[in-house]
Amino acid sequence: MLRRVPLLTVALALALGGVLRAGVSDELSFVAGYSTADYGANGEADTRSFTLRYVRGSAVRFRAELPMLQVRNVGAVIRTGHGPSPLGQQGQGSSSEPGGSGTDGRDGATVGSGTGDWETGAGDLRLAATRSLAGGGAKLFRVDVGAQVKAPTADEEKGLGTGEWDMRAGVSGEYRFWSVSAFGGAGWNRLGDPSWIDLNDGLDAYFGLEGVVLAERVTVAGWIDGYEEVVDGVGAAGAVGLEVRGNRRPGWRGAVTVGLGDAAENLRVMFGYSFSPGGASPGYRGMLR
Amino acid sequence: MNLRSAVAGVLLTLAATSWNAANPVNDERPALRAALRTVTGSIVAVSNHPAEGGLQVVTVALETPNSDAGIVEVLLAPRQVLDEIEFTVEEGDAFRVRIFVGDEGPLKAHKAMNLTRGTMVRFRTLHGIPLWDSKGDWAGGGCRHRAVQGGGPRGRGPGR
Repeated sequence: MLRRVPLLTVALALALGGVLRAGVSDELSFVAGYSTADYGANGEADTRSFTLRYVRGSAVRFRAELPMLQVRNVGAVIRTGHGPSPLGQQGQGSSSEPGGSGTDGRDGATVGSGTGDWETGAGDLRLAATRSLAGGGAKLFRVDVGAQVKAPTADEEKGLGTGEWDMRAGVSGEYRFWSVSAFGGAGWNRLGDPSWIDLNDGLDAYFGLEGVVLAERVTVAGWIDGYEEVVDGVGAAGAVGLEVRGNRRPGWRGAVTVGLGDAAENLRVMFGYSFSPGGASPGYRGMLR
Repeated sequence: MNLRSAVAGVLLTLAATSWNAANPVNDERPALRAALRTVTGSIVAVSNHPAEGGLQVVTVALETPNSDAGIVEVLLAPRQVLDEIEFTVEEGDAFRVRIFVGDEGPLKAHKAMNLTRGTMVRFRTLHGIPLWDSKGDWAGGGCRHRAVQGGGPRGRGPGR
């Protein structure tokens, strides 16, 4: 895994370089979140998070975010780039089984088997870059491509992360109608495998609609997303979500998602506050709607 | 923070926003709605007119076959704004525009869509405030941000 670090560093430096050349707006956000899952009574995972997020750029866009987490895992749960996921039958293994799923081969500590105690610490650092591929500006459509890495800064022994790098490459787009916009995207996820379990790489996708209401003060968006099975046997997962956000700056946003499938979190809520440190004002005034 | 308090926080925020929007003191929405009208037609003329600050503003004459209005002339924005955001208008373009009615002077465009060229821009707020500065520079930004960010709580969809 360490061999990938220089390549990732170069890729991110190039992406950041492109952003700095673009020389456009930046935005800082604080996002508080809570989620809960019971995986069809096959484990539990509760998460409280406070995330600092920095976004810079427009046509080329760079994003960095670091969450502080407080998590509680009950039973066999692993927290990948997709969020917490049940381990299913693979979580029933023991240290005596080759390739067993519940034990870290390095020190014998049990990983993925939550005791129900709350654990606190930094989560995984996420870095992402996107670039406009077509459309944008006054055009009705926009297509972007992007890549994201999840650096393993979370403590895997506490059950805060996998201790491995995850990567995602994807495409996103939107089409603006007169009163609403449709948006969607898809991506390929490469999940780093801890020594004690093989995680499945796979596709994710989302699609939604959004519109402006309340005298242009508020934008409401609804969407559905899904991703392929992360651990063999637990099934695919997804969610439907509703987001409401203010169109003025400083801005706020709140979102609620309800999970689809036993492998998904039952419920997730988040509330974010964002502003522009440099005084620029991205947001609704920045939309060519 | 537990689930109930998180949900309560979100609901309180939504309630506060809704109340603010519904507050008669702050809410110009009914009046604004009444002052807006959407017309669709074909551009029969594009004109430049001198305006304050030495700017040239662009108006379009729109033939509206499905309306009693006949030909309406609509003020869009300064020429340099249209050039900056690459919003092109030419005779013969199919055009949809939401205009402020009842104002004195030329009809001003709130939002316009060029159906021929597949472009759309909001030129003014609902209060009629232009999204360009006194020098004629576009102050409305260059793009939409949410879809670019992608995301969702796990990295997809809205929420980023």
